[in-house]
Formats: sequence, structure tokens, C-alpha cells
Amino acid sequence: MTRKWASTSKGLLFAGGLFVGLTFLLLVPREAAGQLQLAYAHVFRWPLKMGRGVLPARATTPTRSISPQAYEELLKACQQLRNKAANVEAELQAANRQIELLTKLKAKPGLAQMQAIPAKVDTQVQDEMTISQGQESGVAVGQYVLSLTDQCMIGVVSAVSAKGAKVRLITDRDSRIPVNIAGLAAGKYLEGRGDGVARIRQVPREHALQAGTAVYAQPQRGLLVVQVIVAEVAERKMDAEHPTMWDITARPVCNMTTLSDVVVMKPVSVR
Amino acid sequence: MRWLRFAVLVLLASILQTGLLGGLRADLKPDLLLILLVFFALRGNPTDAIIASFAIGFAADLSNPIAGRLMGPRIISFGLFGTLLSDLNNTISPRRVIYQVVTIFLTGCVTAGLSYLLTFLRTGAVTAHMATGCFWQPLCSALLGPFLFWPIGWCMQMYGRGRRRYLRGALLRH
Repeated sequence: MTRKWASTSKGLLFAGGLFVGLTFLLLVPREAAGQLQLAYAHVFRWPLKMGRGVLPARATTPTRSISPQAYEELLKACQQLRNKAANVEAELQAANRQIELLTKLKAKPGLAQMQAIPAKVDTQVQDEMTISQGQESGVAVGQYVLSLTDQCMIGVVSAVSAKGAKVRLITDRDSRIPVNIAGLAAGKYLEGRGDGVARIRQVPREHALQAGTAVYAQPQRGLLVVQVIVAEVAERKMDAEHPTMWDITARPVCNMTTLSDVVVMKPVSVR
Repeated sequence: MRWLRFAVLVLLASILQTGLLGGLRADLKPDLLLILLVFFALRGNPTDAIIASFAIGFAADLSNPIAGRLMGPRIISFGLFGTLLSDLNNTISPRRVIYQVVTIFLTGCVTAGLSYLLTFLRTGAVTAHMATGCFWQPLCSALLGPFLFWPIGWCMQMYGRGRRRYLRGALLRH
């Protein structure tokens, strides 16, 4: 009988203790529990201060723990930051490469007197391309456009908006650029044919032009201060209208289809 | 059981735990209340052990909570495993120091584990020092605990003359 009573008492005690624990855990508001903890810390503040007074700090400051959702969000934010950093690093590398190319371009005699406006090729349709710099950067119609990597002329700005511009390539049917042929005194015009090449007409036949002879864009007042290579002689044949002249087919020295970086040459205004 | 002495001892342990030992590194800090829990579960009679376990759990939640503004996880975990240990005491009865070390360590691991689980279920927060609470602190307590058993027993007059008087008193009460 006594053993049975003791067993029941133990069970009741355990159940009672568990009930108290669950009540504190689930039913007592956290603010009330916090007040109880603070009251303990306040009552025993003197002996607690003998250490470092850790308890009041713990009771008033939030615990160093995070919820799984917050942890997931932090992980996501961390990944986004890493991606952003990688992109910035890539941009930095591209900018460094561009600076290197621009420095090389500026080293060319005469071009140091011009302002080079670097731009990206946005789209290219046949003999026309759009670039990423426009009026806001100082780009204007008529300015010469060079390939940044090959440092040869590729065309002329034909239209300009605030943030972009159209470039008419030297192979376009409407393109007509004054050029010099190496070893030839008189200037000629390089006219686009629309099929990926250009031609120079009415070159006197006494000039023995060879395939590969360089063709330079002529310096133009306010546009270009030095000769820049634009094409090379690909073929020569007798001009049908003027039998004493050559009709020369010229091939651009730049590969237009793979162009990604160009530079618009703007003369530096002198005050 | 001398409950007044018990209350003073638990209060002293909780103040020492948060006051003097609060400055120690978390992974080198023994849990005095855990040591008390194991002591009373092993040395007290079963009824006293249950009350003592829940009371020590209450003191632990009050003085050294796992999460701020939360009480209950340690009342439940200390009460549950203190009672279980008291029941197992009749079977295993760890008298040798090494067994006491193992008992304190395992009790510390499971009470901390259950406390963290209950805290997580209640708040949804995961504590940043789970390894410390579940392993290092029980280990430190286990290494120190057996050496504190004798002074605690002496304070509670459970050994020697005091123990005999206690037993005699118990016999007289029956």
C-alpha cells in the first residue's frame, strides 16, 4: 500500500513538474519570462557583478541565434554578393584591357591630339552597326570610328541619339570616304559596294598597284588629324567606262563581323 | 532532504554559474547545475530527486537561459532526465568516479540536446553554440563533477554523521 502510494506520488510529482515546465514553455508570455529573468538578475546583481555581469547583458540583448529562414536569406544574400563581386571583377578586367588598348591607340603619332570615345557594338546589320555611346558622350555625325583592337578605321557616324549612335561601315553602299593609296600622290574615294568590300575608281593605270597595298583614310579637318589604315587592295581591273583607269576592289583590314569594341575619334577643341 | 540547504546550494550554484564562471570561455565552463542535478538524482531518494530535478531546471532557466526571454526548456529536460536517472540509479548505481564522469557527460548531452530542441520548437531559432552546449560543457562538467560530489554531500549532510542522522531521522519519521 505504501509502495503504491509512493509510486503514485512520484508519478504525480513528475507530471506536476512537467506541467509547470510546459506551462512556462508554451503558455507564459516571453515578456513575462524575461521579466522573471531580469528580476533574478536585479536581485542578485551584486554577486553577479563579481564575474562580468553577464546575465543582465544576456537577458536584455537578443541571443546570438538566427532562425532557419533568416539563415537561408543570409546564404542567398551572400551568394548574390559573391556573384556581384565576380561581375565587378570581370568588369574591372574588361576596363583594364580597354585602358591598355586605348593607351596603345593614343601612342600612335597624331592620335594623341584626338579624344578617343570607347564604345561597345550593340547590334550589327549588314553594313551598319549601332554603338553604345551617343550625344551625351560627345559623339557627333561624321566622326570617324576605329576598331579598338585592330586600330583601323571601320566607318563613320551616320546618326546619333542621346545614348547611342549608328555607324555606317566603309562597305556600305552610301559610304564615300576620302583615302590615300600607298605610293599614290592623289587622293581618291573609297566607295562601299554593299557586299562586304569597297572600291576605288579611276586610279591611273600607270600605277602598278599590288594586292595588299594599304589604303589610308585621309586626314580631314576637324575629323581626323592623321592617316589611319582602312583597307587593302584586293583586286584591280580595268575600268569599263575609262579604259585608262583601274577599278580597284579594296577589302577592309578589320574583320567587321567579330567587332565588339570600337572607338569614336573626336578632335580635341583648342581654345 | 534538507530543502533549505538545497535551495541555498542551488542558488549559490546558479549565481556562481552566471557570475564567476560567466567570464570563462563557453567551451571551458562547467555547468554546476548539471553537476547538482546528477548528484541529487544519484544520491537522493526518488521523490526528492524528482523535485530537485525540476527545481534545478527552473534555476537553470532563470539564471542561464538558452534563449533570452524564454523559460521551460531546461525545467522539462532537467526534470525528465533527472527523474530517469533517479529511476536508473537502482539498476546502474554509478559509484566509481569513471562511471560518474560518464553519467554526468551523457546527462549533460541529452539535457542540452532536448533543451535546444524545445527552444527551436518554441522560437524557431537555432542557437549558435550548439556544439559547446551539447559536448564541451558536459565534458567539462563531467571532469569536474565527481570532485564536487563530496563537498555537495557534506553541505547536504548526506555523508558520515550527517548521513546517519538523516537516515535515523527518516526511520523515526516512519
